[in-house]
Amino acid sequence: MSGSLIEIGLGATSLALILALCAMVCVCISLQRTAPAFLHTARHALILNFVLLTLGCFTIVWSFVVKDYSVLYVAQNSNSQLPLLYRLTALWGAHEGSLMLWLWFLAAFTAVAVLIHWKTHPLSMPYVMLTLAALQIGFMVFILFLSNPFVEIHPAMADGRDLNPLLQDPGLAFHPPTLYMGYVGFSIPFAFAIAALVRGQSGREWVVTTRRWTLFAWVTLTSGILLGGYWAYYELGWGGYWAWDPVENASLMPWLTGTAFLHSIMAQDQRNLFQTWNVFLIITTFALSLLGTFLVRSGVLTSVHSFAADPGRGAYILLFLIAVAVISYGLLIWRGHRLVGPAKISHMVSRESALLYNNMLFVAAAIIVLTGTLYPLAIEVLTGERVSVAAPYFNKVMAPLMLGIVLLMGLGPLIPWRKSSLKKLRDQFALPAGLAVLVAIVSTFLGANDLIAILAIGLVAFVFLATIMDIVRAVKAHMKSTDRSWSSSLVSLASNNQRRYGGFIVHMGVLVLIIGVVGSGFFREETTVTLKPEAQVQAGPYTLTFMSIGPSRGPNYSERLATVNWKHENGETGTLTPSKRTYPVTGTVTTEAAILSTFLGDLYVVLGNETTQGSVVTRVFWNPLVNWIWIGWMVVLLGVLFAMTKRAPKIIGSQATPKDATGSSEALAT
Amino acid sequence: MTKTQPRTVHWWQFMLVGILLFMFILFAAGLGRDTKFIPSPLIGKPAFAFDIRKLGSDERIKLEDFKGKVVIMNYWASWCASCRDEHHVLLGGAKAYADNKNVQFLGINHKDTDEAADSFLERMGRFPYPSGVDAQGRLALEFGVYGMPETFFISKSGIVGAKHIGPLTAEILNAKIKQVEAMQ
Repeated sequence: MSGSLIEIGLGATSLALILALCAMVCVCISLQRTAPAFLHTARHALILNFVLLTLGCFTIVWSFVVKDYSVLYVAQNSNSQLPLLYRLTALWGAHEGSLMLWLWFLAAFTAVAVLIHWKTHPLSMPYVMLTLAALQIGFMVFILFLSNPFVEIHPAMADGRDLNPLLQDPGLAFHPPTLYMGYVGFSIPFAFAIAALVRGQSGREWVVTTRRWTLFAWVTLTSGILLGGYWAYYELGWGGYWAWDPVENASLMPWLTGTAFLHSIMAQDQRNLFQTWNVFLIITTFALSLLGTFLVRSGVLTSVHSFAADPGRGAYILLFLIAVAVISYGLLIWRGHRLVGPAKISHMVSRESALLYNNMLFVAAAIIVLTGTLYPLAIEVLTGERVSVAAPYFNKVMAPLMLGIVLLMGLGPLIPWRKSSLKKLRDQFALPAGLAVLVAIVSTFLGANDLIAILAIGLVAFVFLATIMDIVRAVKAHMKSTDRSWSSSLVSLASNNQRRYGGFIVHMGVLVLIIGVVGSGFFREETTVTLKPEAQVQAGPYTLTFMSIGPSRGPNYSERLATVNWKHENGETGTLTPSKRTYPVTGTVTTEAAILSTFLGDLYVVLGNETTQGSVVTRVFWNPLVNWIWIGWMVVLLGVLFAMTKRAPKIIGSQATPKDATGSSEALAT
Repeated sequence: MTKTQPRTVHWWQFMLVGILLFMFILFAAGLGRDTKFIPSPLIGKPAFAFDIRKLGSDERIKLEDFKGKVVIMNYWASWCASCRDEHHVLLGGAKAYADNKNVQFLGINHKDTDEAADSFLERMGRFPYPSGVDAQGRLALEFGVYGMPETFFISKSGIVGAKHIGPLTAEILNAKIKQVEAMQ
């Protein structure tokens, strides 16, 4: 009987709460009496918690699989008709399960961190464990007392309500967990930062140790955000991928500060700079991750994403957020000065100052997004009026900042640590800058007429050329000194500098992504027309001819299917079949956009309402280069994976001695 | 490096505390407001003149049948958990207004089957008023139903006077009926 199974899940989760409390108490005792046995107990408790919470999650998933509608959460978020894949992913289909997944990630990362850093960081470990156990408790109390996914109902429902139809898509099924993984991933660097604060440890130890955690969290958060955009583009049928919705912004904010952090820890690693700042950044990143959860789950902001708004839960998450912020920022204010080392930025033209500018821009961007997201709330609280801050504000303010960041992406990695001279800069950058100006000018003849777009094109060209030329220079020097072929030189350079070359790959991926954003953002064509048979419409290089519309049937839906022929300027022809589907079981109507996806752009056709017999309102988009966004994403993934192959150097205990940078261009990515 | 530096309070510390305080107060205030309040463009407009099948029979229910009465149109479904919470409120409300010939309750069974709806009513108690069937959610589109349950208050002259999203309470029900009764 599976009714008792879900009770096992509830029991396991309750036990996990008790164990986490035990772990906290044991850590405190071990610190008080320097009794390592207690620390061992705490360690076992935290590892066991992972097992218990895995069991907890499993019982929910299993209830979905066996269609046990005596479990309220299962009854509310699935249906006997729902395919197995979506019954498996329904765990995070709503509030309660999402938080359970959050907690599970936290428990998993805690267990891994405790296992792999146990030997190497004996002095930080108690505080790391204390922090992570406290976070677990915060989430478990919430789950068990306010948002319990294990609740049973008697008598059981005959059949469940359905999973939110929006979530019944493979693209979206994996968007939330990827995002959560990114959010939670920052908890480990956060815990190490708290440990460094408490210990007043000023070295580079904690940033070096958590570098791979940071990379992991960053790349999963990036992927989570992009997965959301990908799904929006292919499934929602409005032709775009980013709408500056409050909930999208909530995921972008920790990404912005996390990206700043990812860069600035290099300065601490190499030059022992920015210690307090780095702690501030990781606290902020983690707090913003929690804020993201708060905004989505409390219903404070009005958004298309707020499925389950519940002020009672919101109040708890807010209190939790306040506790985390007060304790961690409080520690920073109280003990932050102990982290400051003697090193100073010695020259305004240097890697470290480039990183400083990078950080200023990313943090400014985060502040802008935060302001724009909270402004409607502030106005409503103060005046009672409802306003919304829309895309134009964000686009206008963010674009110049992003251009600055792109420029730094080209300059920063190529400027040496400590000091460079303006003359050196001129030698290094004159040629790529000249070529970039040329590219920008050419682009104006090819139809670019927006200043931001022209600047973006020029800057992308500049960064690309400067980076390639730098790599070529390094390869040439290497060939000279070792007498190897250029390919083996490149391989040897890259495999000895995973961080730098991994970073280059990531930057190249970002460039590709930016090309996609600029192309689809500035050069997109959009028309809405009422099409009768034989009517023609122009979109980009394509001429579309509307042929007919008629009924059709699928396995579990009926649809109105239109036939649209296209002809490219170069003579190629083909057919697109956009449709409007009705799923009778749930009564949901979906629009299935027909997309002709090519390397140069997407032809995107969406059906609207049929007006009179045979004619239909149709929206036609030409989205140039939009696929480059997803290609860029893949390149970024590749680069991060490459950079992660570099292991953290072994630093035992607190003996971390700040190693001053010797090589000028050793580390690019963290 | 570990020698204690003079404890001076820096400007950034003040700023950080200030920003955090501001945000906490903002969120706390934001939590208190009514998130369920969504301005509806339908308020003040004539209600859509529906013609739907009556639950459990082949009869039709039309809006015009209720001309001259305040209509409390409640969207419900057997699968909707919050509908259970408000069920007793509706039963009580219908009883309280049973003698008032100017007030008509009407349920709309949303995206449900007759069997499931019937067993729900059997379990929870039958409404003393009819329910219409909106199995496909077509009517819900006309009324801009945002979530379940949702209740519309239509005036004597057929104007949408008020709406409520989420489970009703007796207070809300009475207040909105009074409000719409007073409309011309």
